[in-house]
Amino acid sequence: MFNLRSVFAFWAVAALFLGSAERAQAQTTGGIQVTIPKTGVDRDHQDYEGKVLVTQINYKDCLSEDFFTFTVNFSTATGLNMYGLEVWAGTSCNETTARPPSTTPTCWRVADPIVPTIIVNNLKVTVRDMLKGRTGGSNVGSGGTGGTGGTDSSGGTGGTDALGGSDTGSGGAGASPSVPTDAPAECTPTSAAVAAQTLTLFFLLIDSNAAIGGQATYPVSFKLNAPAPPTGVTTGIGENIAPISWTPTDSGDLSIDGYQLFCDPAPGQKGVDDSDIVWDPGILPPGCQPTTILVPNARPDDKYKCGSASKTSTHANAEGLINMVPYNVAVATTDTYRNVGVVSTPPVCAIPQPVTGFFEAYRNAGGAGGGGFCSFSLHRRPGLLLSVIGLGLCLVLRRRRAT
Amino acid sequence: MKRFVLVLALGLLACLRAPSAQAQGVDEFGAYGSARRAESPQIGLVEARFGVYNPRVDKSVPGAPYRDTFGDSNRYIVGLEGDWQVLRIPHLGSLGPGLGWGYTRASGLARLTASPDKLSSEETSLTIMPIYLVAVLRADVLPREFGIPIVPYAKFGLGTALWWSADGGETAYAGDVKGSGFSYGPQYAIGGMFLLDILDRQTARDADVSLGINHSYLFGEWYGSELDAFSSNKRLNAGAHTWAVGLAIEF
Repeated sequence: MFNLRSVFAFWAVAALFLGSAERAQAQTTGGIQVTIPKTGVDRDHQDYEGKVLVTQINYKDCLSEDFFTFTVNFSTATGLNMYGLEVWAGTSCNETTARPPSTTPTCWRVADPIVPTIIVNNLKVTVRDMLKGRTGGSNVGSGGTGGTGGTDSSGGTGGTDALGGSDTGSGGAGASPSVPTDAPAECTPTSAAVAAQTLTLFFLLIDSNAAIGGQATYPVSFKLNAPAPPTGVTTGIGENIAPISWTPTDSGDLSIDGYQLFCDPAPGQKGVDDSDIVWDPGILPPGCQPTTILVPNARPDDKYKCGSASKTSTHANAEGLINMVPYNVAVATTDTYRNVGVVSTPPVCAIPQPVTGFFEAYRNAGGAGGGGFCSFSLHRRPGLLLSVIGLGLCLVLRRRRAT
Repeated sequence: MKRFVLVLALGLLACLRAPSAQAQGVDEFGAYGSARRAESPQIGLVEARFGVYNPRVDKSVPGAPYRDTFGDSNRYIVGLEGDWQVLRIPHLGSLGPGLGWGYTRASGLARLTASPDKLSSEETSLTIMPIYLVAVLRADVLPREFGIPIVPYAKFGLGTALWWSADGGETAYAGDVKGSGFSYGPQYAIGGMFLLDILDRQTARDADVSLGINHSYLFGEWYGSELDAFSSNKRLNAGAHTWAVGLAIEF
């Protein structure tokens, strides 16, 4: 069935597997082992921190200038003073030809070199620095001629220039129209690719002759494009709400994770107060005023958010609305990276009004029920109920005594 | 030719005798044979129920708020019941307590307050969860002693129903009064069960031996739940006079 050789082979493979799993981010090229502990990676103000992976970057992370902090460990302090610790992003950054001053670099520096100690704490790498090179921009190559990103690896093969394969380094060319025109170049998608892209960080010990004394890699992923908004948005009438329906967009984006509703004016009394709408709670307004918030390609501020729905939903309620106030309402799609896309346009006009639901109709008709599950008024009828229950208990006890 | 006729006649005779031989040897009711099969102990019964459920809300108030909101169409209920056959009455059947649970929901569109003849787009709903505790008498003497696969039964006890109403997906309020509560009152039922064992006796025996299932039934019952707090109008009448069908197994 099996022999000693196969047993040894099995344990050899198992040991290799276990060893590689334990040090997935450590490599020993050059003699000094460089390790980034899993607990040694943190984000400063990641959007939806804790709800997405620490390695995931979305559009808002880039806009808000979020940054990573790394802890880097070295296997020995001996000889460390011969090297500088540098952090690069890109493809094959451990090769000299991949880094400037090579004429065809595929990497860009994302942190200033430092003199390593056996443990380096709080090594800061900004999200924008990570993303800036993928456009073939200023940190790659000879200063802005760009186009060094290689092929468009939208499939996420671990390459670096995920979006900018054919980009010319203009930092915005080819950007998706779903991104505001004033978005920073680092945060601008460089193609219409909607899938998440991967990016590899290289932590390199490099001596004065550009020789590698040790290295570690750390993969991150980013997604700057959000899914397209739904179509066919309609609204109805509700009390302090606006029932909204839509048709999902068949964009092929598998990362769609849900929908968000946006209202102008913003929900709540403050939203109305902050707007310039003149309204009378006793008069049904004829329609909505034009909006400057829910316009094409807009990603409104969170304060305008007035509802959400899961990815399988085709309807939701815009909530927190004031009756008789005319609201512009639009829907945006969200993805698994918590990107919120541009809103559907044109917005629909919703005017909440008082309605009479079943329970209100029941009470209006004279019904006295309600008040919660624990409501219990002591009147004659509950006394009868308690008597029946008491009688039943007596019969049970009597029977038990008899047996 | 004579040989063929002889074989055919013998075969026909054998076929006619087979049920008889089986009846004498294995029928679990033992009404016609001396070798009665030993069943596993029988302690209870569970029912999976389905039926129409139109709560009698409008009986407890003037007007018809339930019908006006949800219309005249039938609403349905699903439920479960478990009985403990604690007492066996010779030559009659079993008697014991039963505990039941059900779930039903009606929904519709709320009406505009300013124009009650017009519907809004806001959903309004009433969800009811009846629970009852009853004494159950099942007269299984018919199949046990007479070979008739019918078991009539009756139930009587107390029922309650938790109910809650929602508007636009949120708990409904009328002023400060929360749209939820409970109702209670007497509960009763009569019904009949059809013994499925007779359709496949071998499977029925296997189910008893391997799973401890003594018998299985299809049943239909008519029941009333007077959940109006004993005719007071202090509670929303969440009861109904209706029917249910389902599958029951004794174990």
